[in-house]
Amino acid sequence: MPRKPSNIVYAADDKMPLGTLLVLGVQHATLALLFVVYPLVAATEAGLSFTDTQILITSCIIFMGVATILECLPRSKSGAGMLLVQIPNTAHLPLAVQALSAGGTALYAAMSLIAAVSQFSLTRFQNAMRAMFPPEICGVAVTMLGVALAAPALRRMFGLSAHEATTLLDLRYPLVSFTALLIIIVLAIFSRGALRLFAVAIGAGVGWALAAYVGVARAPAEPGLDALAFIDLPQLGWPGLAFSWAMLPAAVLTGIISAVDMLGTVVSMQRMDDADWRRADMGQAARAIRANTLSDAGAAVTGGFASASSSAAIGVAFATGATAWRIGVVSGVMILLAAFSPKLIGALTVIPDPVVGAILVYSAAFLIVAGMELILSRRLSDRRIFTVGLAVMAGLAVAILPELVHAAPTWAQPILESPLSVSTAVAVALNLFFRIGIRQEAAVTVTTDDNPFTAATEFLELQGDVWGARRDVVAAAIPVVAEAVEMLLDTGVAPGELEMRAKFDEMNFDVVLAYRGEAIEIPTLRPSPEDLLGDSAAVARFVGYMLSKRADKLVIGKTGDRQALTLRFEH
Amino acid sequence: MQIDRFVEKDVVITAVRGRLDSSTSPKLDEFMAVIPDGSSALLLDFAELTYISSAGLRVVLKAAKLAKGSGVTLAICGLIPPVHEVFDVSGFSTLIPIHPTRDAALAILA
Repeated sequence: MPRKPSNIVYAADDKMPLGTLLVLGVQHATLALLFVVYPLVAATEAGLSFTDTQILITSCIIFMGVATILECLPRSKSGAGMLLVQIPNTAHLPLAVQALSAGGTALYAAMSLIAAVSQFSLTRFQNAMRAMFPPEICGVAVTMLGVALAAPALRRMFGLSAHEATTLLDLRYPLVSFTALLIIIVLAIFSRGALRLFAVAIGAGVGWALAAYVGVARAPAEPGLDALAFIDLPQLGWPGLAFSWAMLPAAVLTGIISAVDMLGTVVSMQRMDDADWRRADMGQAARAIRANTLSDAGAAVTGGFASASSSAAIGVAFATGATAWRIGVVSGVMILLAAFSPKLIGALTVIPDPVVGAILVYSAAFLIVAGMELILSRRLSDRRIFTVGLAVMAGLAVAILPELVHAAPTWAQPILESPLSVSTAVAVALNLFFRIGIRQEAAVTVTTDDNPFTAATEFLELQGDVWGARRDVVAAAIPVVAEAVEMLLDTGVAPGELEMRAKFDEMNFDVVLAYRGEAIEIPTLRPSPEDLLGDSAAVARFVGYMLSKRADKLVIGKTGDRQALTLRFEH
Repeated sequence: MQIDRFVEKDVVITAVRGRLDSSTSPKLDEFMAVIPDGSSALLLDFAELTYISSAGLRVVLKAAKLAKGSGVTLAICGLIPPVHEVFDVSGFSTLIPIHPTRDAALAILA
């Protein structure tokens, strides 16, 4: 079981009082439902009828709830078993607008299904995913999840429109936004107990009240909240299926982008929930993507908008210090129930923009740093530095230079609009390209003229950089290897020289010391320290015992006609 | 490696900075070979010692035996975690008193 980090109050499997569970569930569900604005935008842009819009949103909400429950329930074949709350998938927005405009709900349903299949297909290649997404590439994806949130977050924070030029800043927007953000941060950092658990809800509540007071709270759209029923049976429909070759590439790529997005959120949660996190659990990521695929397919055939796990919810989990799966299940049930209340959904869509902006800024800030942490958890060679740096630059290019995107062919624009997809694609491509010429085994000769510590440090750090090994593993290996080399050469067990060979396969970092001479003896009981003052054999025996305790595994064997002392360090 | 020696409250403190391995341990061996007159205890301050090999342990063991033979206490202080691990695994932490800091050591030795 993962070790709970000190800043987490309720970890993945922790139980909590019912009241706390309910309020945390409501907090997540409320935030998730705010994003129904995305399908609303798609419907408006595509000119959908009132009935089709209702179906698009209602089906989306129902399958958001279903997927959230599937994702959070533990020990399921489909679902991550961790706190992942679903929201409408922004990666689907361009596909939805284009498909709904060109061929109506039937075309979007078919394209959604194709995107789901494309998303699902990635889960069949977990080994390839491991190779394609080492921690620093996952880190790029997580960082860019945060960067992708920046523009919508900051626009809402400052009351700016994406379509209209603003001549004068309305200071009421940043006032509301900064107040809400300040409250969330102060409660998340300085408070304990209930105040911290409900930091986001309290910040949002105060922000909403302030927004109403200063007059930036939105009025509900016509026909108005009063006209909507409190309780009503949700409407679902079979939109039929239509096909378009022109839309196919966009659908396939939307599925891949969705899978990468899911991978980023799953890795962020894994890292937040495990103080000793080492590498992405691709099995868990694949289960998360499978659950998302199922719900997306369900949404597609019932006329709904696709969903994906929310990066904003990760920010909320971090702020509240609560990552328990039970919160997600409660949240999923609440989202499902919300589908039965048009008035509730209508009310949520009028939460003031600057309040949403504050929550998104908090989440973006967390994700950007979480991604950087992931990137820096590994040693970075020049190749890896440029893989990460150029990938981030590519994502920033499309984020800050939209004219670049507009200059691209129409079919490519939906992909290029996403800094996440651009950065991740560049990172994966460069990672594969820079693998050329890298061997998974390297060796160097060490003689009695060399300083064992310097030789071990230079060789292992270089190889650690090239292979992207964990910093702490390399740092732990260096003194143990140096000790072994010093003992073998100084005692004359390895006369004159030895070969230091390192191997890396992501799970293990092995160092083999090959030499001509006698094998050393590894005692199972600790020899007396007095042995250090004895002859070479006694010293070798004493050091052999120490090596067997300090490496994760020590193997004495032969390689050809030479003795081989293998020190294994689990990675 | 750098070695500084000074006396505080009749305790001879030897502060070692850097790495203590086969190439540097002879220097510490020379320092520890003589126990200054009038000293009540010897303290090896390893707060800035980043690495110790079996050659370094051998010097520490020799110094401990010499001190014991002279009726003087030898103690160690300020071990960083990786070096502390070496002392624990080798069994030295049961042979020689280890204190977390120099002040803590002086409070007992002086």
